[in-house]
This record gives sequence, structure tokens and C-alpha cells, in this order.
Amino acid sequence: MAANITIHSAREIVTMNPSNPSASHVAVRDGRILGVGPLDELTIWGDHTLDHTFADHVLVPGMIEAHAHLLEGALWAFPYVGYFPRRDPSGQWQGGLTTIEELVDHLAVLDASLSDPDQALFCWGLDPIYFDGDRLTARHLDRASSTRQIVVFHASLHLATVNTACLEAGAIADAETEGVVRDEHGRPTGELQEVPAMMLAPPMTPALKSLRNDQSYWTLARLAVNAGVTTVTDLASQALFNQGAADASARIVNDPAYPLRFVPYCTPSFGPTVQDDDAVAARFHELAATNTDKLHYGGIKLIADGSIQGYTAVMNWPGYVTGAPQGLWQVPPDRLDHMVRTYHEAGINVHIHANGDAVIDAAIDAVDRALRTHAWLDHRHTVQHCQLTSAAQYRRMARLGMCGNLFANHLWFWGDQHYASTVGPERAHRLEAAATAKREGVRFSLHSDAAVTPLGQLHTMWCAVNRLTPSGRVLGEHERISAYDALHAVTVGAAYQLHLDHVLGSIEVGKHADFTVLEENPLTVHPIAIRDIGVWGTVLGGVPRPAGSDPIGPTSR
Amino acid sequence: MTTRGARRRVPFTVIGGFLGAGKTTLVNDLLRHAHGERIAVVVNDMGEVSIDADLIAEHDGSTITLANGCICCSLSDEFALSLPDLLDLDPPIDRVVVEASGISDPGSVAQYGTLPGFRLDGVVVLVDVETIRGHAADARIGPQVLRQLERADLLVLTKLDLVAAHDVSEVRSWIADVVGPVPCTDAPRDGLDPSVLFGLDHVAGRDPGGPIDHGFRTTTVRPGAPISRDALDRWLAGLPSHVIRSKGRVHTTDHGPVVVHVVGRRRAITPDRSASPPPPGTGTIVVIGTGEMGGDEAFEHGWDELT
Ligand SMILES: [Zn+2]
Repeated sequence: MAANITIHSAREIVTMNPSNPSASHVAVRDGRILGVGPLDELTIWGDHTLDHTFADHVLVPGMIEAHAHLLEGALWAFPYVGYFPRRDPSGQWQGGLTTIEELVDHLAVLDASLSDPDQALFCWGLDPIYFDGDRLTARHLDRASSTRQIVVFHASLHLATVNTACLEAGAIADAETEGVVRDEHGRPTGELQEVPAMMLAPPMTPALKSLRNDQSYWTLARLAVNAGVTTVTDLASQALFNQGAADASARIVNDPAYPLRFVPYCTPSFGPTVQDDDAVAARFHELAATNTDKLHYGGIKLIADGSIQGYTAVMNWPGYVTGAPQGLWQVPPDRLDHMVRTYHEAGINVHIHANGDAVIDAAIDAVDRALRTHAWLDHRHTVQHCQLTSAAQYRRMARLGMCGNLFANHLWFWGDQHYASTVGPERAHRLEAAATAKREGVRFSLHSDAAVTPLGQLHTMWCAVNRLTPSGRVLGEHERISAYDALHAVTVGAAYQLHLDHVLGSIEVGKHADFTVLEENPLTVHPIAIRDIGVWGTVLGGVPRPAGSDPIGPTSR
Repeated sequence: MTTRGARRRVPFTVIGGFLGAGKTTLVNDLLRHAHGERIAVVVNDMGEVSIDADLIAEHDGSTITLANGCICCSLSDEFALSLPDLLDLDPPIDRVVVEASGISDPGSVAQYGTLPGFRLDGVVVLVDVETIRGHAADARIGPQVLRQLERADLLVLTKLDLVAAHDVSEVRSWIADVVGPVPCTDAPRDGLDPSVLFGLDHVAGRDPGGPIDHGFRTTTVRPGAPISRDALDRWLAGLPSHVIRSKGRVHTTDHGPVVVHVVGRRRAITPDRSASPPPPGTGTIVVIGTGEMGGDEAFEHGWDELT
């Protein structure tokens, strides 16, 4: 019978399958790849429809973002006011506000666009380290409005700056809460540090509570399609003990209209009735039993330390160049051991957030110890962020079968700061050491940690290949990797660490028909142009999903 | 329905301490001896507290209801954002107790207790006398373990039956060396009376001045002369370190009637908005302390210099 096979022609198909690296056609049936090759090799499967939609385009395997968060879709409910330009869900560039004056002018425009004078103006994405000189204060924001409450939520998600109207509405001058920054007269400057102080700002709690909704899934999907991403992890899913989160994921992601595969990794938050790691493992298996082709509970996510730029990544000697303390463990090493061992023995893939080299040691030790008592060789436990991993650590990871997911976007967004003021030049040069990972035999991926930095694997590849900073520095030329290795990382490499490389990651027979449709071949353009390659959209399970500005929404029922 | 700001501020207690310090035992004791208070126990992310099955009346998802009306909930990622919702519960809660996770800084968690609608009552940190010095000497987690002690208003020593008495006194002097004179009390083997942690509402009706449960003492102090708010604050700051809690109402010369709360080294003086505050020139402060604390006579000195 005819027409249940579609054969797509393309200018080029970059398969990432080394035994069949490049082709002109791909045949798809039932959402899966039936064959890849010249047209005359594919007609053996019988009647087909020949589709030339991609005749001028380059297909690569559907790109996989193996460390992102649903928050990337949620924050766009509010205006973005960051230093770096960022594409909104409709594809428009936003932000790019490089001085306090530009920020204030933009806030004034946003203020004027709101008709209800009582509505607060909440916006996000500010990174004040890029403003020369002055620290942003309430006085600056007052120039945008002296009557409307304004909250500017910083990119770090740990700080906010508010205007005087907000300080007054929250009676913040009288608060005893730590984290209310004050001037030499004891008056609040407008900067609020950490969640309790931020919650003093009346608009903050309703804004943050509003982020957890169905729309954030759909917005994330629009951003992903526009960036050419077909699979996104949610690397801090609350689904284990939050039935609402589990229900929402199932309802939305399994909707045929939803154009993304979604791979939650669950953080094991305990409650009064679920107290131990065995119960977490059992609950995870219940969730994983509901897995579909599109919604795949992949494993457990643990958080072992903080961030380098927040000086909370836990460092080995000699620590931070500022002499800041070693960092903050988020879980004691013995406890980490116990969790890793329990989940390992239960056959659950574990991804461990570890930035500082001391915590990376602890993560490797935990896996090492688990393997001594329980021989699961194909665990693929992964160090997430993996920012300061040394060559010796990569060698241990390789021997133990661990993977790395490297936060390549840091090279661009914070590389200059790491060079100058966190870890200093030498360790900044080997930050996100992808070449070392490859040389030492560690399978790795590259990520954005969206919403921390924008979702978009072409940009992330560009970072790992070029290692440029905004000041023009090449940060670690010896850690640059080829475009091929970078594309491998965001396709096969990512699929591997999610235990999905048998169905995702390359364009070859039997796998899901997930493609990223590009204007140019990222392996042959000049490396500096990788991030500028146009994205037509994606194909998910054989269904074309064009990039665009219209919102994506549920199938109407 | 009143608005949040107009309500009584709900006392907010943080219980911290490293993994294994005995938080589960303590929380269950508190729930068992709630004395009619409706306590909301909030189990922090990655917490170690598990509620004894015999206390549980029903549980639905992330909230447990106890037969005595207390509740226990896990707010997980919405820990922070949902905390103000506790103020809307009906019937209203009398107190919030938050368990800080074993590695976290209880002083940071305590900042939520400064938000509108709450009154930060105190940060109580449990110390396992057997393991504390080892944890504090650990190159990796030591700094965070010490930080927990530094952030405490009141330390409670636990696992006392596992070590010899002279080791306990060594731990006490080690604590005094590393964090200074933080009030410090022992957790009795048969459970800590909530009065010790939650103040003296519970001991009303008992015979003041006499010994109370588990070797704690309580006494009632009356300012010997009219006193200003500042002087009252100085008097409270000078209380001996055997004092664990104080609560009272005093009519000050410059700020009128005030309520006094002391938990270990944390003290708060807030306006007394009750229907019948003490008349000018009077007041009463109830003090609870360890067995070493003296009787009334120990508190009589000092007023004259202050006024
Ligand atoms: Zn993340």
C-alpha cells in the first residue's frame, strides 16, 4: 500500500552514524527511520511518497539538550531584560541592555505599556556584573516608575533588585530578614539577596508561583523547535512526590501536538511519609513504568554543590583566587555515597550536579564504591556541569564508565569572570575541558542549563568549538573540539548518557525519525558561523515541526 | 477573614543539626507533647525526619494530619513559596517548626521566619556529642558543621547515653571554644519537653519556681523598678547561659507594654497588643533553664543599675 512511507530528500544528511556518515535521502515509516541512503537503495521498501521539503536543507540528528529545565519555558511569561540578546518564543531578539541607562529606558517603555497602574512589573535575566561601575539600585529603577512596583529578577535566580515603590509596599526597610542590602545609613538599596529577602517584595511570590503551569511546557516546546532541539531533559523534575507535576507531564507531552521528547530526571525530595532512598527508588520505578516514546523518566538527579560564579562550587586546593571559602556541599559526601549506591543497585541512572573539583571527586568516589559492591557496568552515571574536572578525574570517570555533561555555555557567558575573578587563568583555560574528556575516553555531552543560559545546541556547540569570551579572549585553545565532536556531543553523546542511544542520536535505521533541519552543514561552515546557522525547524517522529512565531498549543478536544 | 498583617504573628522555630543528630526523635517528641497547640512541622527537602506511624491519623499526598490536630508537610521545591500559605490554614496553626536539612545552614532557613505573619522564635541546633568533633574536623564538611553551631540560638546535646560524662563536658568546653557562650542544654533520654523549646505557655499552671520535667527549672522574675525598653534588653542580654528560654510581659517606661521572648541567645521585644497588658511599673518574666540555674534570687540583682 502506498504513502505510509515518506522518503525525504535533502541537500545533505549528516547521520552521525560512522558506518554511513552522509546521505541524500531518508525513508520514514511509523515515525521511525526505515533507511538512509541514495533514493535507489530506499525504494526496496515499496511504495512511498517522495518529499522534497528539505531539498535545500541539511538534516542532522535531532539535537538533544541533556541539561535544561522547564523554567526556560516559564520565564517568558515576563519580559527579559538581560545583557545578552536572547530570542523570545516568537523568535524576536530581546534584551541586549548593556548599561543601566538602557535598562531604565527599557523599563520605562514596559511601564508605559501596562494599563493597570496597580499591576507590578516583573522582569528577569539581569546580570549586573556586566554593568561597569555602579551597582543597580532602587534609585535607578525609580527613574522608570516611582509609583508602579518594579522587580528585576537576576539571571543567577538568587538576587533581585526592586524600586522604591516596591520597597515601600513590602515595608522592606523594617524587615529583619538577612539579605536586604542596606546603604551606610541603613536604608535598603533595593537589592534583595536569596529567596527570603526576595519574598519581601510583594510581586515576587505570585510571580514565581505563576511559573508552574501548563503554558511553560508549550513555550519550552516553541523555543526548542525554533532552536532545532527535539529532546529536552527536565533536570530537576519534582514528579517523584508531586503528582501534579507527573500528571502535567503525562497530559502535555503525550499530546500528539507536543513537538518534543521530554526526559525528566527527578530530584529525590523527601516528605514526611517517604523517608529513604529505597522508597525514592521504588517510586522512580513506578514513574518509569509510565514511560512512552515521548515522555521518558530517565533517572535521578542529585545536587552536590553550587556554582563557580556564586563561589559555592566546592573546590580542592588552591580554591578560589579571591580566597573565598571552599564552597558549599549541598549533600554530605557520605550521604551522596548512600544515595548513589542505592539508586545504582536499583538500576537507576544517576546524574550528579558537580562543578567544583572537590565535589567531582566525591561523585566519582561514590560511583567507584557502588561498583565495588554491585557490578552494573552499563550505568552511565553522569557528572552534570562537570566544569572543573581535571584530566586525572576524567581518567577515573572513563575507567568507571561515567559520562560528563559539560556546561560549554559558561565559556561565553562567564568565561571572562572565571579568568579574572573566580578560578584564575589556568583553570579557566581548562574549564569545560571537552578535548581532555575526549582524549581520556569519557563520553560527553554539552549543555545550556536553560534557563540559566538560552536553550540552543548550535550556540552550545559554537562555545565548545571556539571557546571565545565576550572580551575576545580564546579561553583554552587546547580544549577546543572539532565541529564533528561537538555535534556528536549534542546527539549521540547526549542520547548515550540518557540511555537512549539505541533510539535517538543518529540518523540510522530503526531509530526515531527525529531531525534538526538546518540551512547549512555545521561540519563544513566556518566554525565561527556555527551559532548563526539558520534553523528551518525539526522533524519529530517523522512529523515536520517548522520554526515560527505562533504559539504551539494542545490538541483541542 | 482578617488579613495576614493584622494577625498574631505565628512563632517559627528552626531545628537544625547534622545528619543523625536526632532531629527525627525530637520532632516526634514535640508532636507527641503538643499540649493542645496546633503545630505545623515542615520537613525540608532531603529531610531526615520521619513521623512515627502511631501518631498519624491520615495522610494525603505530601501532608500528614495527626490525631491531635498537628500537621506535617513537605513543601519540597515549593518550600519557600508555599510557606505563607500555612498562615491561611483553618483551623489556624499555633506554631511552625521547620526541620533544616542535615547539611544546610539553619540560620538561612530561619530567614523565612522573618517574613510577614511569622515571628522567628529561635534556631535550635542538635549536637550529637559522640560525633560532633569528628564531623567538625572533617576537611570537607567541617566548615559547614561549625557554621550550623555558630548559627544556633540554642544548642541541644543529644546521644548523651552513648558517651561518658567527662566526654560530654569536654564537648561542652569544645563548643564554648569554637562558638562562644551559646546556651546549651541536654536532651533527656526520655524526650525533651516542648516547653524547653517552645517557651513557657506550656508550663502555665505548673508550680513556678520548682523543678519541672527532666531536670529543667523555671522561675518567675519581676522587675524591681520601672524599666526602659533598652534597659530591659540589656537585662535579657545579661541572663546567665543556663537560661534556655524566657517569656514575659513588662510595662516599660518609654515603650509601654511589651512582650519578651528569649530563645537561647536570641531575644525579641515586641509591643504587647493583648487586651490586658500589665499596668505601668509592673511586669512578669518567666525563665526556664537547666538544673544549674538558680532560683528567683539569681535574677534579682541588676535591675537598679539598669534603670
Ligand atoms: Zn541545572
